[in-house]
Amino acid sequence: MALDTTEEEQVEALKNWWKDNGTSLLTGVVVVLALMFGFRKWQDSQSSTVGEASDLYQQIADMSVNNVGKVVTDDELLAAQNVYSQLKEQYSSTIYTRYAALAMAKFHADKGELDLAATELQWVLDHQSIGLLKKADPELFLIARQRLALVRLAQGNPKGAIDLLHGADAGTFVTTFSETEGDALLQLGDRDSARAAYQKALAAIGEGNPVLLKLKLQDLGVSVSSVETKQ
Amino acid sequence: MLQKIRDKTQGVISHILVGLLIAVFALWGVDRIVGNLSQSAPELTVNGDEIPSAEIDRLAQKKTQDMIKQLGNKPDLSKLDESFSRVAAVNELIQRKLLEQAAESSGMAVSVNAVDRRIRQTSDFQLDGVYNAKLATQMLQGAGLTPNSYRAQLSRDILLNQQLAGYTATGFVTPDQLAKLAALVHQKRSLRYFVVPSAKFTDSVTVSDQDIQDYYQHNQKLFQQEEQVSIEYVELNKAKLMDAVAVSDEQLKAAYQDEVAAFKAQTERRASHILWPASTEAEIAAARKEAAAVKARLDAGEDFSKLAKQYSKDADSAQKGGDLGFTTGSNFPEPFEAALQKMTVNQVSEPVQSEFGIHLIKLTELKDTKIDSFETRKEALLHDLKQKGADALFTSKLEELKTLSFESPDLTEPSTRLMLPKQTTGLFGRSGGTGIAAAKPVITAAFSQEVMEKGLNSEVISVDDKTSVVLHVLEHQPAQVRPLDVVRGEVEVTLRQQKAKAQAKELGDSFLNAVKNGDNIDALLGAQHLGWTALENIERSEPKLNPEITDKVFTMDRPQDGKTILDGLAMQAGDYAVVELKNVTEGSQADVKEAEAASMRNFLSQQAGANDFAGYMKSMEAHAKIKGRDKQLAAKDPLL
Repeated sequence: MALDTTEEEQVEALKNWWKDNGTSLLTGVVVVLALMFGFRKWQDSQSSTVGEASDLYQQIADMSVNNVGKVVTDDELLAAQNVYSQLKEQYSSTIYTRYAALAMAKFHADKGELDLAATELQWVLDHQSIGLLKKADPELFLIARQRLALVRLAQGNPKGAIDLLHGADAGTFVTTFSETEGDALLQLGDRDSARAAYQKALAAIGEGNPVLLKLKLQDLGVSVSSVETKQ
Repeated sequence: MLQKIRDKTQGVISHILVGLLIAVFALWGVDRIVGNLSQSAPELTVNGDEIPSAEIDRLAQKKTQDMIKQLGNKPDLSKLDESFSRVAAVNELIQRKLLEQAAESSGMAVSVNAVDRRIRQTSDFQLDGVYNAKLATQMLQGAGLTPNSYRAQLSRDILLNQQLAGYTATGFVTPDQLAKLAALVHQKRSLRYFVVPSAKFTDSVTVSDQDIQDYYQHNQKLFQQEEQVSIEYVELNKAKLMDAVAVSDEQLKAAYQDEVAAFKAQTERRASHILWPASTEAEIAAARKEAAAVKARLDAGEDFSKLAKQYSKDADSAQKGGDLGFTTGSNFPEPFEAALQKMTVNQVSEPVQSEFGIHLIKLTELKDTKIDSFETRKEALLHDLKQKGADALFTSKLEELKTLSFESPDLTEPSTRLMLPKQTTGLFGRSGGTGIAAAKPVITAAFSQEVMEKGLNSEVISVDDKTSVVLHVLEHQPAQVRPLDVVRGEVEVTLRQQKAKAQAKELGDSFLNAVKNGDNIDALLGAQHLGWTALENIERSEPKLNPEITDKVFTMDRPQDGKTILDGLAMQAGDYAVVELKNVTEGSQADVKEAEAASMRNFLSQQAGANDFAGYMKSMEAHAKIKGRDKQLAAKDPLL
């Protein structure tokens, strides 16, 4: 503005500006506030939905924590199935239903119900997307993939297991992927490739427990002491 | 026209800007934005989220304290490596943060009910097993938490546990895995073997001087010796100074007189009582009545201890006839003591009231404490005086030693002036030697620039609370290859063993071929006083077999078409084993006992879950932007 404008002129200019722009500004503010209010409302409803899913999952999580290294009883499995079907019907797009599916697969696999375990793990692999604004960690699906390979192997399908393991980059799961692949190769009678797979698994084991892999390697002609001196 | 367009655009732009500002403040809050600006640069961030240094310090300190607790009740703090707890704390907090972020991005949440439930179940908030709101509030205030911050913390914990359960508790074991493990673990192999000991040859092999020279030349690395020093030192030792302190009889007597002067004679009184506990006025009145009745019987000549056993409600003393032992005037309640003071031996008091109730008191013995005689005190006094003298001497000599050793080029002057003999050590490296050379401060000083390179006297070094030394380097031996003459003996032993080992292998291999060719191996072995050892159906854990041979046996190929497998094994100690594997039987579930099956299942499923979770964390860390980790790892604990 020019230097000689008086205060009155400034007030006048402001009034004019308001006349021209006031309505649109107010409209803008109202629209933004309304959007925000709506977003919050939507967020709240979302989180209460998720909260219900969370409560349901908690029951299954408690059961799996209490049954690490144990086979669940028929009653426990029935209770878990009830909760799980609620999750799948009402909250199938949440991360919780995927965690629950992993737990259900464990319950079944431990009991030797391989087909049922495979169904749950396959469901996880087939439902990786959990909605527009959310993202499940990709590691979850690598884990489900390797576990499904274990089940395929137990079902007497080593080729199916290998196909699954080759279907994704193992990333930081080289040890578990390669060990399962070794098991499958051995089942197919390919001792040399199995040995190579076990050696790959052992090389990536880091701080994990190497005892079982060493045992498997020993049976394929790799002496335990040679493995130790190499490390 | 142009002006109008400009005005219009300004209008649109300003209302977008204002709208944006409102939205930003409303969504994120003023304080998040302004707060971030005002803080100094964040130290450790994970994908942009800060982990405050204070939090790291707190967790590291907690971990250090846990370590100290684990070290037992006499912790050797020098063994404590606090950088260990810091690394663990930093890594744990990074992992927590990553999991929090994962929980958020995958849309995990905790219901209000779940948090409520958790709070109600917290035993710290419960009185007699029931949740108590007042107690909970007090506990939180004590911990410096508001209900909201505590609820937020609980929510995070619940989410974390849900994630952990999702990964680690869902590992499973298929029947196929269990069967394969059983087959491996309980696999049985039958074999026979013999060992050609290298000791057979150690005396007969010849080692020439040329052999020794060649070995020495080719293996110089084996004969490297680290830098070493030997030192001479003078030692100021409190215990030795005590011997030098002379104490005269006069001093001893004076010290005893001081003790006598300071001694206050005391009278000790032994009391018995009969007690009627009472606190209300009615009780007191009743008790008094009973006490008076008993007192009358005592006055009539009845035995105090009998009546005490019969009437006293103080069970412990009643058993002992009311005896309470000695008091110097302050062991019992005031009215009790006051009554006792006025009594003569064997007198029984009138009923006395104290906070416990009504007593009848009997003074049973009166004893004056006496001071010990000079003869009994002499030894202890002598020791005290010598110690005091030694302390003073130590302090003054220490000062002198400081000045003298600083001013002298070597230890001659300090040694003669202070009459401290010069002592020496042998050569030792940075890992220390024996005696004084094992003490850390001595080693540090000996290898310091001032002492080792410049050849100066060290400062006065306090080795422990009784000993101080000044040291001077005698000999400094730089790192070197030990000369052949020194190591000739070692080399010869090594070469002898090598040659014996080669001979054992040669003989063993010849036997191996003999077996393969179908020669009469038993005769050959017999000629060397050797023979087969046979083992049937052994498992990997077989205690009777050398683990090296076990490893060999279980790596050998499976015999096929009834043919055995033969192989030789050069063992660590130099012996040579020849192994013949006859057959392999795979283990089965039938070999697995119930407890073992349970532990196999547990091991496999836990390992599966743990491996998966470890892979998950590793992957998340690899994909995360973590800043300032190294700086935090290097940071010192502010308390240590």
